[in-house]
Amino acid sequence: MKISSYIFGIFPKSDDLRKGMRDFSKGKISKEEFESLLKKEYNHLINLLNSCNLSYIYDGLLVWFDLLRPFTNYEGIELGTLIRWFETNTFYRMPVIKSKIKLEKPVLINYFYNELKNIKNSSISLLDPLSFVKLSEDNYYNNEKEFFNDFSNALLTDIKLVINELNIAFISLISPYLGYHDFKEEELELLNIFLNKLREIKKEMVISINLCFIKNSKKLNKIKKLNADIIGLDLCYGDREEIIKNIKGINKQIALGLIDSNISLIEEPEYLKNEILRINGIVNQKDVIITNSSDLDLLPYNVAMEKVKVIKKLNEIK
Amino acid sequence: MNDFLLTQEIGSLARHSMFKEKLSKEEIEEIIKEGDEYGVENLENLKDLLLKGGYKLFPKEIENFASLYAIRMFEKVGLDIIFNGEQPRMEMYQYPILFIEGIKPVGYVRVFDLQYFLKGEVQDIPKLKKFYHLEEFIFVKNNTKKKIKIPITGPYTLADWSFNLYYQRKWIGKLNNYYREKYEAKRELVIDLARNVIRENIKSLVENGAEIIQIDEPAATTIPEEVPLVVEAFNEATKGINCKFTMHVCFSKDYKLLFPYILEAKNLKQLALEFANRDKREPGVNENIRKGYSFLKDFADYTDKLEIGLGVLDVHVDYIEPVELIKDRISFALKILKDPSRIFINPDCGLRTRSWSVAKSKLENMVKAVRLLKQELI
Repeated sequence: MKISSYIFGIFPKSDDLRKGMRDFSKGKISKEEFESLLKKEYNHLINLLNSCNLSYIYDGLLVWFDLLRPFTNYEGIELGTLIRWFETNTFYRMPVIKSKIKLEKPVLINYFYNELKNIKNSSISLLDPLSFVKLSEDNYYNNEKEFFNDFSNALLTDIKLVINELNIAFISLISPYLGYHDFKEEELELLNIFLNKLREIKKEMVISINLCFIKNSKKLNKIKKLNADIIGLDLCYGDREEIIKNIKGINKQIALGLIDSNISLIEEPEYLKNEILRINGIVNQKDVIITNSSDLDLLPYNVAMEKVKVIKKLNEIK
Repeated sequence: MNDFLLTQEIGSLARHSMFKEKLSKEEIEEIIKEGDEYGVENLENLKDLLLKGGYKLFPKEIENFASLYAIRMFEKVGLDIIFNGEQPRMEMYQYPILFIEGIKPVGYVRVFDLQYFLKGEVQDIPKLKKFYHLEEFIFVKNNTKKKIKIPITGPYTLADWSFNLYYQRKWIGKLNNYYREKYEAKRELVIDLARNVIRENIKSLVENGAEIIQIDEPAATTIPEEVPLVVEAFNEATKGINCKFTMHVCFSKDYKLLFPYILEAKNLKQLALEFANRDKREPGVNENIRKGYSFLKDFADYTDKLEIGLGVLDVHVDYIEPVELIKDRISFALKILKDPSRIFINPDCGLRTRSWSVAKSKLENMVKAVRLLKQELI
């Protein structure tokens, strides 16, 4: 049994980075000083991920405040009020749609580490467009399909540049909406249109879609319709046994979200190994992929680092 | 006859500028002038302390003066039920965990943007090191004739905002069901906090004369399935104790999630909730305008016993709500709940993120609105 692994979502910022961001925003340090600090932080994280033998390496989204924030730079989208991020004690600023969404100039390229282009198996991670639509306030379209289409078109143009410039091998889309809410089949169809276009950008790129905060697992068998290579499942939030039961026989590669992003308890490699064997005995996957349950920035920096190191230890005992 | 539409604070004010490490002579003069306006006593003594080093050298004295400033400001504004603006507390979570054995700060976790909080980790069964509200209560009691309400961070919120290492180690792997294991670990922590920490604090306050205690549970509806646990913990913390208990909940997705479970909170007399934040600023008393208060209809359907602490001031903006707007918000509540003795008037939440001058102006208008309405009602 082969075990692969990847980490997705916003990684916590170190004390130094938080201080640097504050100082930079107050003009206490120069752009060059901040960029030098940021480079150090990116490299530190990437070295850690490499040392843990992760299958794909990403930049931790270290300059992101929340998963929706960069898109508020698109024309037609403004920054709104603070809204609770699902059932956590973390908040995001709700994007407010004020006019037709357009991409005037590239945005996302400024939010990823440009040295990813020199890394083998580089990956990026971002919110899926359906979750974006559901987590925003629409004051313009009054038609969700039209809103989705305009946003996903802008996103595709924007992300194409990132994929090509940074030579991205793997993209993990984060979908708290599909995990937490009762989605409709037509919403999956909309998302599939986006996924098909995404695939066209780079055929050999691996696409995963990661369902976070899964509460209602009965609908999970419908997820197989998604045109993604890997379906990541948060196995730490809702009832893990129900989720496993409902994905039994699913004809898709599953990534097991067993690294719990909500608790400080560091998973024991032996415990994880036993869980992997137990779950795989039920869902019967050829390859095992292990990942985090949701964004690790629900944890302090040091705890998140320890959680990633568990993957290395797990590989050592297999 | 006047014992209705009583005004109250919810909790915190910003830490007063007298806590600053370095103060110029001009700043000290400003602080003294402000104290004089509120009617604070012994200002010469305060001035002397500030000139000689302030909070760094005289922390207890400065804490007491800051509390006195809050008390006198609330009195001057004309609130009926007051406390000390939580001046000795640096924050509603980080402060109590300093006094709880078994919980240790583990690192900073993002709340939003670059705002972080120092999150605690439960490493052992939580026990009270020291009564952490008694001293401030006695100080307030000795310095005002007003009714006093002491805000205390509740056991569920303390647990929800902490990492639960000790109990998760105990439970995970025991039930062959990760979800249930995590729930049982949380339940045990919440109940232990209620029993070992919050109840002990409450008992000490009541033994020393406390008559109204507000249990702050801002996390109450974060996880809808756990509302019954909030209630179980409340009952554990308050059972058999003779005192008026209120509960403050704010920024909930939906207050209906509290019901029907909250009706099982045996000692609960009042729910103090945030409303203004979700309301419009246009005047008017019809339900299309007062949408932010629509939950009151459900509240009236669920209970005819519980009082409501009606949030009429948005604590996240400097906008000073006009007297007429506040009056309309209260009138709307009166239209639905009928009985004015069940309605208490307060800001949405603590005013910690506003300056004292903004907080004071907001509270002044709140009191004016209530006085006008009372004249109309009598």
